Amino acid sequence: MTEQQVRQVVLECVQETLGCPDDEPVGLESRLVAELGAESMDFVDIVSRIGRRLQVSLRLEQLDDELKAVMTESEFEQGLLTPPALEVLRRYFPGAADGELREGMPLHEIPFLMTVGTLVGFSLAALRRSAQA
Amino acid sequence: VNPSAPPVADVDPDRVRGLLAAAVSAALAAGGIPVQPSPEEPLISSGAIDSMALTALLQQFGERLGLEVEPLDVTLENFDTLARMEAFVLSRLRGRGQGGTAA
Repeated sequence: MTEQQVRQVVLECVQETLGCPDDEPVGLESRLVAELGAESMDFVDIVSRIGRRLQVSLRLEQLDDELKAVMTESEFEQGLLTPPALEVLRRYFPGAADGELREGMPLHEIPFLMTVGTLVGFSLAALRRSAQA
Repeated sequence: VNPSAPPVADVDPDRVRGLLAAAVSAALAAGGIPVQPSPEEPLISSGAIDSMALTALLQQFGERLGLEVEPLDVTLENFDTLARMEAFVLSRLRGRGQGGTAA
């Protein structure tokens, strides 16, 4: 499956779940929460749909794992981003503005950064894992 | 918290584990996947369970365990595998017994 096909599948899963109207284009940069109105149960459905369509299992916790690898336990417990954690986030959210990714940003704000493109990235990573297994 | 919830002394991890396993197996069977998943098997992210099935599971947790789950707690981190569900449910039930934030 090509990257383009994966993008298409993810876009379809997002649109099917959120019922995005045809006249409001959804693109890779569309923010799932802020622009498309996704709520927690919608994330469940989107990820479940992608899993079914691509026959893989997305590991969103991969981001958590990477953050934990560069933060101390107490920093993670405090829930505030440190400079090394920001570097991780910049890789996951290249489209995020500098002002959004800031030291001391609460971890619970991370889902607000998620775009359709972020899900494409997780999907491609899952496909790579699956191919290597 | 459901006022008819069992007292914390009744919160038996084995009972919770069994209840979760049975509920998840029933949900999977209803979706045409008649298997008993292993504790670490992804359920949501693999597409085996969707939001409707999860909603039904949460309803059962409410009825059987007196546990009401807040929408913000409905995450893959808490519900993607049986092991995570068990950890989340037990944590909330124990928190309830300690005057925690399970409500």
